[in-house]
Amino acid sequence: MANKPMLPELMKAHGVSRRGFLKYCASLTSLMALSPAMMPRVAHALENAPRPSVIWLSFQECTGCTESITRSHAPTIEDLIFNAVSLDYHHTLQAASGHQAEAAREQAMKDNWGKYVLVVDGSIPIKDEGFSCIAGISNLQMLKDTAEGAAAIVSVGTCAAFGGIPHANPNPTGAVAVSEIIKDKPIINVPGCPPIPVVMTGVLAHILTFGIPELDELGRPKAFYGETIHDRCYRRPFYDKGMFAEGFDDEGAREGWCLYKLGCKGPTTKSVCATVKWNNGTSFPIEAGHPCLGCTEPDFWDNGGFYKPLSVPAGDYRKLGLAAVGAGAVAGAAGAVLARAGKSKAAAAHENVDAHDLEKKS
Amino acid sequence: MFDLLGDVVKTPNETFANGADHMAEILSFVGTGNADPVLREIRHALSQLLEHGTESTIDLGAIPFAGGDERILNEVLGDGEVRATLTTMGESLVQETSIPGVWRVDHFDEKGETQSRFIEVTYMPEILKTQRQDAELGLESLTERLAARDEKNNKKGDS
Repeated sequence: MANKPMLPELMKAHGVSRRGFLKYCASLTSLMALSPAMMPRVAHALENAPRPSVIWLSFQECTGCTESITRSHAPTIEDLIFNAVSLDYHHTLQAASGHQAEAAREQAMKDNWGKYVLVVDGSIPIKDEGFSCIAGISNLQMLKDTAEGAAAIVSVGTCAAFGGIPHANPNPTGAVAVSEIIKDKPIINVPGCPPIPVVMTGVLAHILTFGIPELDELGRPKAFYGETIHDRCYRRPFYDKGMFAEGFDDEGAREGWCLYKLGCKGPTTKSVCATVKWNNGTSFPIEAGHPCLGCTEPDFWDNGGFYKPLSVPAGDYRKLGLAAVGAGAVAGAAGAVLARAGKSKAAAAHENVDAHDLEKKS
Repeated sequence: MFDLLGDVVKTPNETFANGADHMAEILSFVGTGNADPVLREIRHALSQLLEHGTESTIDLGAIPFAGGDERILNEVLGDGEVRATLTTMGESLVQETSIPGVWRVDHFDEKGETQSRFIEVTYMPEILKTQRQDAELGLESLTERLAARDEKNNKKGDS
């Protein structure tokens, strides 16, 4: 650790000027949703913060979270963040494999005991530990062993944060979130399927500069999960005026009206998709014409159907907050009753979504 | 129906071109209502700059802003006398608005994607100033170049 260069040295080595560093700090401050007045403190922290060791464990997952973070956009803000930390173990990205890889993890743990940041993507099967193993070590055992010496844990993706798709009914592996196993360490949940790349790196940047960020009741950083997508959606004025697309090919859809009636979960989904956006800031699902699926919320897969409007709830919205559901056009108390009634229906079996569902009117 | 959107009183199919341009033009009139509060915040910040010398920065990425808000902001602030382009880690556009003391600072990455956008109320944005660390490197660099030049000239003299 001691020999690893600090961020300003790395930037200097890459020919980045002090102006570039200030630009980087300004954008990073904005990215972390901090006041611009905090920019000098961000710069000071980056200049003086040691590079923490990061161990990244992947369990029951699709590698989508890693795919996402490696597609972060230029000018390599994320690359710089990853230069600013020391990524000592990531079995998808590292060159070493097998026993050598595990030796690298063990060495990083030993060298940085009590100080390293543990990043986890994927859920952990507890029905039978043997369902998912790495180098002959069960996910459960590897998590417990590695978490013991961690300063903090970042649960990346909805699988690690809330169980995600492996946890979906009928959950054959008994998949659970990291927070259901580790109880004695600070855990930062960064859900999303996958999370936005700069949100993942932004959280790591916050840990690097200011430590654990302020979290909401679901353990998510408020900077990135403090408001619903609906709050910041560019289609919000159409919602406010009651102008809704009723199908994917009607006039409303063509005119860019609100997708609420097509099942958009934006009103109950907290994320910065509408402002930070995806694909190098190009757009986000709603901008591409598709309703939000609500992937940053618990049990989003089991909430009754992606194309059912929130005013006709069929899923378990308890964790989402009934007040948020009530913010829909028709909801309120009746919606809450319907939501509870629909829960048992959704829990009983998956609902298949077919072409008819896609065209279904509310 | 379009009366509901205030400024968008035209029937799109009759008034605008079709397709993406049509959508973009409609959206340029859709606002969140945040432009006016931001403009008043800028006015307050400018008065603070003049009275107390207090500089302010407003992060436009932290505010829900739609195309209509951006249009209003641009219309009211306008373009001023100074426009500078920084080329470090992608481009940055630093532009004084037609309200002296109010600057737009937009940072882009190497692919031209927006990284962050600010309104700075200041006599001179910090990022335009030469930074001491850069000047120190500049001194080293200039010294090396002059040394190389001297060496080259000495070799010429020898021959």
